[in-house]
Amino acid sequence: MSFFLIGVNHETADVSVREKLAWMDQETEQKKVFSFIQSKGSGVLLSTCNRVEWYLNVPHPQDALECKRHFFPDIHETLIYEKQDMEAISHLCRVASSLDSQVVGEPQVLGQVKRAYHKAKQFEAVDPELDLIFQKSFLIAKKIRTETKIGQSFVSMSSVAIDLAKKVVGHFSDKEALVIGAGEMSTLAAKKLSTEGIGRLWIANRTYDQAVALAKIVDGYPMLMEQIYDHLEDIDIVFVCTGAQKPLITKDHVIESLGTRSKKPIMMIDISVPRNIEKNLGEIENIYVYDVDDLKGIALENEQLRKSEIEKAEKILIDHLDRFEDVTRQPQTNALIKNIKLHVEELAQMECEKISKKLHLDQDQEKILQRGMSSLAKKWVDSHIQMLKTDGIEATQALHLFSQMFSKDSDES
Amino acid sequence: MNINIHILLNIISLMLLTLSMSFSTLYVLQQRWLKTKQFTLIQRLPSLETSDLWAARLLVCGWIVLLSSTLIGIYIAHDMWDQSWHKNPKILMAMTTCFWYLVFIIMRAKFDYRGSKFSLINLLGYTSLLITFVYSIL
Repeated sequence: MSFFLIGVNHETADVSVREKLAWMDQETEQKKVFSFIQSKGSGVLLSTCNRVEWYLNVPHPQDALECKRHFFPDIHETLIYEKQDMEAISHLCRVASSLDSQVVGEPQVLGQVKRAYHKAKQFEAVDPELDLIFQKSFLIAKKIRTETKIGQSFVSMSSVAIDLAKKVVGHFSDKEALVIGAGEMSTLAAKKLSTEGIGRLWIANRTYDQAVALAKIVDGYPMLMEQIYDHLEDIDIVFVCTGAQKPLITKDHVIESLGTRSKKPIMMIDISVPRNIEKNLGEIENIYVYDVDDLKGIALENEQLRKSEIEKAEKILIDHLDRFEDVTRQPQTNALIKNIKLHVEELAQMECEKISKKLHLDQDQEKILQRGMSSLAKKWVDSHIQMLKTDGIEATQALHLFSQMFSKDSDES
Repeated sequence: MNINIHILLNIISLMLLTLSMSFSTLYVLQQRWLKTKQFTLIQRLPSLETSDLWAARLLVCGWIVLLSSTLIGIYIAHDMWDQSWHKNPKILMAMTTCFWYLVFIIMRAKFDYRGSKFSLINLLGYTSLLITFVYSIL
């Protein structure tokens, strides 16, 4: 089995490309998507606002290629990246530890990777090897977060957006904001707006109960999705992050619903992929619309501040990736050790039988001989397999050598 | 009435209206940067709303001082030239500028003239003020 990564992210493809791939993460499509993956091997789909990636564990490179053709059909070849084995593992660790994020250090991405992994597990699309890789990547991500300050000076995408909103609407105390969606990003935005002292905070969500729950946390007011346009006239900041496949806020509706509103500016932030606010809404003079790619510039500035922490994190990652190589080798090593033990035990058994026949030993003598041979075999195996359990180049060389030796032996037998 | 007060008020009004104009210009620039997503330039600037608000506040203050200065100027001119003061082009220009600014203030209050539209009108008013000021010096 080989580990592959196929995907697009904020660096290779802009949001208009990424939103074309969002269909894969839809509830209705998941069954089809994962049954296709199961027919090839196993795989985890990571679909966030910044990336759409498939982590695959498939027997042949051809299977990965078929997955690429199936899931990225209309995407230009140059926008898609492909990685294999350690390179792909390294990428996964970088993603999980937020080193590959648009806003380096953001804590949300680890949760998103975990959710993607659990979803794949629900569909039984994670084999033990893929499972091990993901578990280890979670551990590395956690270690990076605890041993560096990468997340401490972190400013989330939501708070970057809210800070930008301040540059447009000014003081929040006499303003009204509407947060559409009740997911992780929306919750962060709502909390940030609340702590910044927004005058009135509205929460709208497709599932009204979730809107009520979030409104309770942030001391806001829940709203039905159908009521958005009725309230838009009074809203100064709109933050949208939902999984809707079509725009929730359109230019025509906004013009219609603004009515008697003064010419005060309105800030609209849409970090959904696909976008939930119509792109041409920014053509209206006093409406400022930003999507996830637009916030990239601000995110880059924050990144400069955390440069030394990023370097520390990179060191930890490299160090752990070396060990990771050993860990991914573990199942192979275990299987080999089992083979060696069986093989030597068999040899010892055969020799025992031969000696017993030649010397005409009775049952007690035969038992003593068997015990001795077994002990000898065990000692021999233990002394040799010790090398396989260590880290480093010797272990890799020993693994190759023993694999060749015992596969040869088994072929001959 | 002392002519020095008239001159002092004139200078103060010019300063206030220049500041108002600066905030309006800042608004137009900020708006352009925000629309074209050039965020690095706006990091240290006040918000759009603040720029707009201060442009309006300074305009009102500047107008009040300018009006006072113009009224004092009319009073002095009346003393100096008796009946013919209203024929003086300097006074006529100052009165026109005051009226022009009053129209902006009413438009802002009544028709909610904000943002780039307000900035443009402010620029026109300021041009008129500068012409008056330069003419009065000459």
